[in-house]
Parts: sequence; structure tokens; C-alpha cells
Amino acid sequence: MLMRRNGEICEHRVPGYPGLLTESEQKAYSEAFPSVEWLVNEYGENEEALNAIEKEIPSLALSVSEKTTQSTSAIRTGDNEWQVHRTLHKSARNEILLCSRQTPEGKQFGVVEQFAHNSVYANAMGEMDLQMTSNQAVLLLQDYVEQERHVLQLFKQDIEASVEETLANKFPGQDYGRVVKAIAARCGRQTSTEREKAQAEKRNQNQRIKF
Amino acid sequence: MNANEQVATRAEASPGLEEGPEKERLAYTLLEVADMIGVDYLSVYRLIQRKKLKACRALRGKFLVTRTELLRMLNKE
Repeated sequence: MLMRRNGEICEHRVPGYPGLLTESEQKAYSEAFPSVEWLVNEYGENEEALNAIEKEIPSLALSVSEKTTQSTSAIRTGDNEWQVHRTLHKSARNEILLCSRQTPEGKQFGVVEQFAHNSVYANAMGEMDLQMTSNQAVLLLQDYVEQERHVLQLFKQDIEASVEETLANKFPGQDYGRVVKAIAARCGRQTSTEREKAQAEKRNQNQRIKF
Repeated sequence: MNANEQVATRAEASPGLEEGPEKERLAYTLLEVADMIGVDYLSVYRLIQRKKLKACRALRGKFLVTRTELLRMLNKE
């Protein structure tokens, strides 16, 4: 039995979404998705990296607690010097570092975000931002993962809002809530192959622009 | 150059921000804020999550940061 919505047959499948879209919804989806595709890809990459960190928590915590990893460098936040053990996240403009320092009460662990030293933010607020500390590496890393999941959630909400905005501009007066859900469902559901394909396409486009 | 002047310079230099009749916008998207203050876009979400920067939501729920709030954060310390 065929399902209909607004007089149209629900027959179109889109990646990551269990429901079926109508012809109009499919058209709206195709119009809106390219505007947020890179954001969806970024979401997927960040979520994947975070999942990898989460899996690594026990071994990572053990290695920094038992000094089996060598500190690569030292950084300062306020009056404190921290030994850097591992980069948890890296982009062109920032780095999030897992650090430790010795205190009279024992070893303290910290997560520090380091900004580009010549950025407006670093000039005003400082290059290093101590995000969280704990005397237990496992708890610290669990908190870090939880915080980053919340950050990604905010990012996803913003992607959904961008899709709604695009749809409202292109199809005023139409209710495409299902399309927004379908695109949101794609966040983090993209397979590595899909992402590689998208990146290859992006590279090709850049090359075309250069020529 | 103080934070206010730096933001003004970045706002004028950032693509997209120079469009429209006014150069000084009242509010910016988080991607624009990231470009203006030279940080990764996820860092801006982090600042909001940690309540160091206040964002409001536009009609469709998109996060916006007012110029006043951005300057408040940068001039605070």
C-alpha cells in the first residue's frame, strides 16, 4: 500500500533517514542539502574523532596517569605550567590539549584549548584557555567527551536552523519539517566512503576553479 | 589596536559582512564570529556552551551573537 502526504506518494529514500519523502520534499531536500553539506561533513568528522577518543579513554587515562607517555612540550595557563601529553582535537585555528601538572596534592590533569597566537580572541583573552581540571584522568576525559557532545549538539541545531532558513527562502509558506529532519538525520550518519567522495568532489571543484 | 577596533577591521575585511548598506551589523552568525575573532567555529560553540559568550536565537532558531556581546567578551579581560 502506497503512503501519500499532501496528495503525493511518499517514495523517495534519502541517506540516513528511515522515512520516505514525496516528490516535492525530495526536490526541497536537493535544493537545501548543498548549502549545508560541508557543515554536515564537518559534523561527521568531528563526531567520528570524538568517538575515537571515547573508545581510547581507559588506555589514554592510564598512560598519562602512569607516565608511560612522554610529555611533548610545556604550556602556561596563568601561573601554572602544564606538561602536554596529547592533542585531543586540532584545527587550523586551535588545538585542544590533554595536559598534566604536579601539585602538592598530587598529579592534576587538565584540558586546555590553545588558540592561534595572532588571533583577535587570543590578543584579548589569552592564547590558552583552561577548560577543565581533575585529579582523575578518566573523569576528566569523560567530562571532555560529554562537553564536546553538547557542543556538537549545538552545532547540529544550528545546521537544522540553516536548513529551515534556506527552505523558508526558497519555498515560502511550505512546511518542510520532514526535510529538515531528513537532513539532520544525515549528521554523523555519513559513511567514510561518502565523506571521501564528497571531499574528492570538493577537491575537483577547487581544481576546476584554479584552471 | 584594541579589541573593538580589531573586530571592526575584521568585520570590514570579512567576505559577506561588507554587503548591505551598513558596515556595522547588529548581530553575526557563529561562523562569522569565528572568522572575525580568528578561532575555529566549534570554539565559538564551546564559548557559548561554557557561557563565556551569550548567543540569542533568530526566527528559525539559528544562533546569533550581537556585536555588543562580542565586544563585551573581548573587552572583559
